[in-house]
Amino acid sequence: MTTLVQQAETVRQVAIAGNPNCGKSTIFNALTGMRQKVGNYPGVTVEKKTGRFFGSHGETMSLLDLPGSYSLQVRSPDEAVARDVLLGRLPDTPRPDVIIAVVDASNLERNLYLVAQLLDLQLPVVVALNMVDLAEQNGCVIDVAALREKLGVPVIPMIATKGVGFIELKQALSCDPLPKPAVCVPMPEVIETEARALAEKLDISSDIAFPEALLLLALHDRALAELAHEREIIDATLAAQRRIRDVDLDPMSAQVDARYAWIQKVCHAAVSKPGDHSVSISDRIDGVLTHRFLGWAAFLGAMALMFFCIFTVAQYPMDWLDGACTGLANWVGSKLPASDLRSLLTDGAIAGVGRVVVFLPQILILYFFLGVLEDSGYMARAAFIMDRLMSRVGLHGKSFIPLLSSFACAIPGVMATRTIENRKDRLVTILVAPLMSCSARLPVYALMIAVLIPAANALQKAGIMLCMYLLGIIAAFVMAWLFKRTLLKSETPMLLLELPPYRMPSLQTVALRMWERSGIFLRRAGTVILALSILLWALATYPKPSDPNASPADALAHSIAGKMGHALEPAIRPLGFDWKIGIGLIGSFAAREVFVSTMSIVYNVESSDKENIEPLRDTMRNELRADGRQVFTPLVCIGLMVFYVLAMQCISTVAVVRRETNSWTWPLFQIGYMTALAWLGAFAVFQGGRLLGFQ
Amino acid sequence: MSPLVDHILVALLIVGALAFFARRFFSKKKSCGSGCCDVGKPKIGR
Amino acid sequence: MSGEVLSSLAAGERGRVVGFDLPPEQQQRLLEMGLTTGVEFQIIRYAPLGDPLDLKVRGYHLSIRKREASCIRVARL
Repeated sequence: MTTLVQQAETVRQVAIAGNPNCGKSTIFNALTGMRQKVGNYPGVTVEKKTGRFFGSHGETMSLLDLPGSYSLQVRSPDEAVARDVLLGRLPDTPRPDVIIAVVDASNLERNLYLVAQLLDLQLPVVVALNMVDLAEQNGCVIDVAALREKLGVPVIPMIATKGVGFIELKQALSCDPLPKPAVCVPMPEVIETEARALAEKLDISSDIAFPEALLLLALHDRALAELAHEREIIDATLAAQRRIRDVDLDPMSAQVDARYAWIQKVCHAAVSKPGDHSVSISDRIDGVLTHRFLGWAAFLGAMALMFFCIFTVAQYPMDWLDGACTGLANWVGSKLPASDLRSLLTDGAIAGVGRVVVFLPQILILYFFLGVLEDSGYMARAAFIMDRLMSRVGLHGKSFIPLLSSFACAIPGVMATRTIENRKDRLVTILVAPLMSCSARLPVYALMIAVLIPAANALQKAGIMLCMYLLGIIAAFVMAWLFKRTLLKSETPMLLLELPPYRMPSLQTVALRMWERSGIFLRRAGTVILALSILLWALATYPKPSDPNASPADALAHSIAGKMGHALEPAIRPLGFDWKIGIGLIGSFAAREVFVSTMSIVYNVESSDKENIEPLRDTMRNELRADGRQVFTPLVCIGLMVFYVLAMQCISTVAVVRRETNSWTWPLFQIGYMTALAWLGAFAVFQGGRLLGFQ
Repeated sequence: MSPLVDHILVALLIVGALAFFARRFFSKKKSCGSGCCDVGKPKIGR
Repeated sequence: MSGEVLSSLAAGERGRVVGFDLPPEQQQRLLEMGLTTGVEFQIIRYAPLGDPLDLKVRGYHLSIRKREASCIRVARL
């Protein structure tokens, strides 16, 4: 037992920090390979990536990948975590023993800003000077020895994508004892004095008191009140800030200016740049990809290719998965006698989980494209191009990526909102993301189009589908605009977007990301979806009709779900829906695509797979009301489609929103507003259509 | 398999699923989730 | 030189930052991204829809909106 504890203590804790786009994850992946795991920091939804690797003496080291950040002054949840880990403020994450500060050599000045702040932390720092090849291509020669001397810490030149520099990096990390930084960024005297005085007042370990005092001094009223809760500290900080202003210095900009002045000195000594401003390859690519006309063509082309692959290429593995699930259900069915247990396992658990798991290929393809676009640097350009449109409704260019992902599935869309800095903007994006028509709506659209126009040609089908997609997009933008003006009122956020140089995407990075994401997706399917499928099965099964030979349709009508359908009828009658459609709505509350299979049970249609909806279609078309009128009139069909465009109807999304917002308020509000919107939409179609004289 | 065992197993699975959600629902919140706020974190000037 | 702001420069033009008329938090973020007083920059291009703009500062590309850019006082070079 003691040896175990000792071992844990001697494992060196390494944290890897750096700006976004500096190659941080490439170094992390190269060091740890598959020995990494992804979790969350407790209470926040920022990803915590940890891994293990071996130092140059074969000793195990623990590596923590900090979220990319530009500064220790926080603007996003991600940056808050980086700051808190480095200051040792997170209870379950030990303060690291050494920091790898990854620096993009081709963008040295801006990257050194974070390093300047890291040097204040009194922790050993190893600078990984990454992408030296790119810097050389740009005609920039870096004198590593001079840089090492000026920074006062080890500097390792690296080309992470080609595996260059890792041996030296490990040697530097295995050093014992690790040297603390020999240099501290000089601050104007008054700031230095005030920070020291303020640090005395902070009741924390002296190592971190000074950098924390510097952070506090740079803060303004609101941010200050958030960070320093004690009145005493706030007052002391404000007084110090006043004294600094008295000597005509701004407590915040003086710090930033001092760091950049120091950086300029460092670069002057260590970097020689030719004077010419030749246009790099990356700038030339940008000339095309952000061109007034060509830029749009490239953008639409990239989106079209992505969705083509998601909707067509993914179909093959989806069919295999579907077949595998059916096979498994049949195998279990053949091993068990006919009983409730068999029904629960096959119709409930396996079918329920299977319906979600079949979307795995689409999600993998989506993440492949998102990974390639992100890693190549194009994603920032997409935000650059789209920002104008997004800012019209008060959102950010960065909200575009989550909304785009939501066309495949809202779950990755909601998870992609993590990069949005402002909490309110992030919430607005989460709230409207499920309005984008995801692929789970396709089976419902397909069925309703078939009922609406039995002999629809490809053009008619595509036209109706397109209308539904457009309706979702318009609804998302209108609701975002509305939320930004009412519930989550805030200024249109400032855009501060780095456009990194284009580079070849690293397949390893993309593949690891796909691997990681599919793991998260499958874990959810195995837990939340599994539990939910069992409960829904119970609702649709109990209580049983007294006649054991009752047809499945009668049994369903007798169950709780069936009774709920009846109870729902008064609410949905204004939409032209009857109680059978009500059962379909309730059955598909957890997952939209279940509507198709629920309808086939309601209407007693045996074969009900996606490929063959003709029997169900014909039954539905022939279904009559008590007074002899058709149930599925064109208005009801369109109303149902509109309902499914706008309604939440996806428990996986509810679960992920609950996790991402860490509260039940937002997912419940989302269900509420989307259901209301769906009801109003279907109401408008049905009643408006009747007023206009349609059927 | 006897109908009794069958019923017990079904009931266990349903109760298990309910318990799963109950546990999630009542699990303690540690922060507002935005990551920006400092609920549940040690404060800087303590 | 008097009264010129960053957004009044055309694509391709160069300038030097003179001062800011922005709320402190926004100013701080711009400063930390290297757009400090006295630094030289070049406007590379405006986005296809006219906003935001792409400027090169300290050797990298930074994109900001015209709204903030119109609150950054500059001297044309």
